[in-house]
Amino acid sequence: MTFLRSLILTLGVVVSASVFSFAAIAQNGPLRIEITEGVIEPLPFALPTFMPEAAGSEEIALGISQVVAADLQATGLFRQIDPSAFISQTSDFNSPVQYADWRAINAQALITGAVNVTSDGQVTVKFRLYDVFSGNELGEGLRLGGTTTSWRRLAHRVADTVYSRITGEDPYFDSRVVFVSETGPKNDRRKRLAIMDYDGANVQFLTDSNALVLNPRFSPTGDRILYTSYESGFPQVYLLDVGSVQRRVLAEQQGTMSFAPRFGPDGQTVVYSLSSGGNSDIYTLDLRTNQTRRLTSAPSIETAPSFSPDGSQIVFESDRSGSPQIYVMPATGGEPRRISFGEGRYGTPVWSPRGDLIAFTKQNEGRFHIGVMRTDGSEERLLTASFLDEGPSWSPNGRVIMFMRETAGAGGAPALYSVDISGRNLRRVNTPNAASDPAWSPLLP
Amino acid sequence: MKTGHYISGGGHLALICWILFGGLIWRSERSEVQVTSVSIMSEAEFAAIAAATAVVQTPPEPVEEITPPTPVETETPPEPIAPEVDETIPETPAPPSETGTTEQPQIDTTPIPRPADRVAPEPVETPEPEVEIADVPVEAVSETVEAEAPVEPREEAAQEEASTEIVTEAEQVDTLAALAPARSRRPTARPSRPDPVVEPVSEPVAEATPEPEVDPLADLINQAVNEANEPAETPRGPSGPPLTRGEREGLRVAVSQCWNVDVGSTAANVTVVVGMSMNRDATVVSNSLRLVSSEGGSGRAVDTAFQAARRAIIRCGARGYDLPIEKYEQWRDIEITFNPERMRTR
Repeated sequence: MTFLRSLILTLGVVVSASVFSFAAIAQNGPLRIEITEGVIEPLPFALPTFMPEAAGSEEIALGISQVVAADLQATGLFRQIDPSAFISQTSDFNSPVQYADWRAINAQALITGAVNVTSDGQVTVKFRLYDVFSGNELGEGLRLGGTTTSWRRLAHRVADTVYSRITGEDPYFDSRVVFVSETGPKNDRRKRLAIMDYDGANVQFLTDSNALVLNPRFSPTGDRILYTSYESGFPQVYLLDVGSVQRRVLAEQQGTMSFAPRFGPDGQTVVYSLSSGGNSDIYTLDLRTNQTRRLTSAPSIETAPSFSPDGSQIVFESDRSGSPQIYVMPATGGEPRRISFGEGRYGTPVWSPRGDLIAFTKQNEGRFHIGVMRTDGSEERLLTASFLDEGPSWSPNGRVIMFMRETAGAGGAPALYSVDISGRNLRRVNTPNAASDPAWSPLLP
Repeated sequence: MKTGHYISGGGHLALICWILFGGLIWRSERSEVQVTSVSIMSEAEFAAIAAATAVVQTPPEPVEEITPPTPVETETPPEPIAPEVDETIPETPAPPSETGTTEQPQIDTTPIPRPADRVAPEPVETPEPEVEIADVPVEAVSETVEAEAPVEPREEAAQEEASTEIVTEAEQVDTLAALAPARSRRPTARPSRPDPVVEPVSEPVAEATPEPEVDPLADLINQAVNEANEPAETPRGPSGPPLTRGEREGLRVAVSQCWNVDVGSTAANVTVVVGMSMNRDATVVSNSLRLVSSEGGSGRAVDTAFQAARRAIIRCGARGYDLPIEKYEQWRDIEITFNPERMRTR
């Protein structure tokens, strides 16, 4: 009896366990799955050459198409599909899109456009963006106008819109970069301030080569530039108006040297280093009242200050701990907080326009790096490594960092490079001469 | 009545005999103890040998008795070397270890990440230059191939080269340096004397408190019956057999291959759950894709994350997912969670 009872009970448990198992497997509601692994690859897009709508528009239509494609590809996030693979040929800007033809060549985005150039030099460009696999237009079509001399800006604006609609990020193509253009041998370099489109086009010089110039920085509105010049024989901070190219000296104090200037987010406050009696400290200057304020007072060297985007904090470089490290303090001064604790020497910190990261230069084991870290110093990531990398500057959307890289040896020369904050897409920025100290402007109005 | 006593007595007798003499018949498998023969020398002998060594100052000679490890042809580690201990051993700078195991150089066999334009869960080697790049590998088909069904000729295609993680310039490593041993071979140790055998000491075992009599089997059955009798609080899901783990995994992999994550964007901080309805041919019902929920990020970032997820589902499901039609009720409605957390750290 005992054996029989045990057998019945065992069978009962087995049966009930099976019932439980089935109930556990059977789903309630929809089938649910979770995906944690995707791919990171450029998104393929098709861009048929924008259609010229009037005779004489062909050249600018081609130029705009090429600049739009180059802008998108330079991000490393997009890949242009070779036009020879196209099945559909667009003949009319308003003709319906044959999505199947674009899907067949794996185009995920399609950009169509048309350009009209009038006899009085006015350029009109209109474009549409399509999500091919969804079979929908992504946003509404746009029409932009300008002059024949500003057609590259029109192209950058088109690319900005496409980039922003697909990535959800703020754009950065319609922006400029001020930098120090260098000519001559390494032991006798001639340095001039120059300005160019973000992609290296339209270079213009802002100063002559009579005086050594350093550290140019844009104002938040992009119409003024701060820089350091040795025009008087020792370093002083200057303010230059981009439109008129007029300049004036700032923070002029007898027996002192001022350098490393940078605008505050309000555009009226300048933070800079002032060296007096061999000691450097950080000061602010109110451009409206011309009043200065000392923020640090330490026997060590404090320099390279940079405001947070909300203007509440300043990140700077100091060797108060014995080696150059990165510190953060309130914008009104106060006790600094060290945030860099890795091996090596840290310098030139710059707060991201997004506010979430700080870019810096790091020197360790004979190599220079451009890196980023959280504003509390965590999650440090080195993005580059070379003989000499320094001077990071953020793109207006906080997505890309431009910096100077110098090659070794007597024939070594500085050049500008850019890198995505993910560490991908390291590429050289074309400049006519050697170049250093890049500073990215905000988006142009 | 007595029959029971006889059976019980016989059983007990057999048990006692098995305890007393069972070891002679049924010997349990015991792990073999490795025995190494050693010679014991006195302190005076050792001092004499040491003194002789100090006077002669001869450089240590390699011990001929220790055969070098044979070249390793496979990935299996070399067999432990059993050293033969000789009287002249004290001159050897590297006495054998206790176990006779020779420590080999430590070589890091972790694959070295290499930079590539594409980052994917599975690495893809650099394709041949003449091979076309496609989303999935394709074998070349020529017109001369004889097949029962007509096959459209096509070019051979391979997936684009891919790495499993982002490799920044600062993280790129010298391949040869990475293959170098992490540390060098360590001298082995002298064998020590075997530990004295310690007789097991039997300790008095506390008398166990008798537990109240329970029947776990009966309890389980009662619990199952009770639960079965309870009215269902929530409506049951679709009927029929559920998808197997492999079928679910197939769908997950299919969608993930088209989920392109922009790791530098704010959308990479957003987890979205996307719901959709499916046709019987395993394609997605038009306009059924919807954002069920999201976590993290701003509204704009959420929308970007949703669009990327939507694009992935549509693109890789354009020809229908590989799902069993007989289980259509199970996958008619699907919710997919796109969580980029692991991608952010790449």
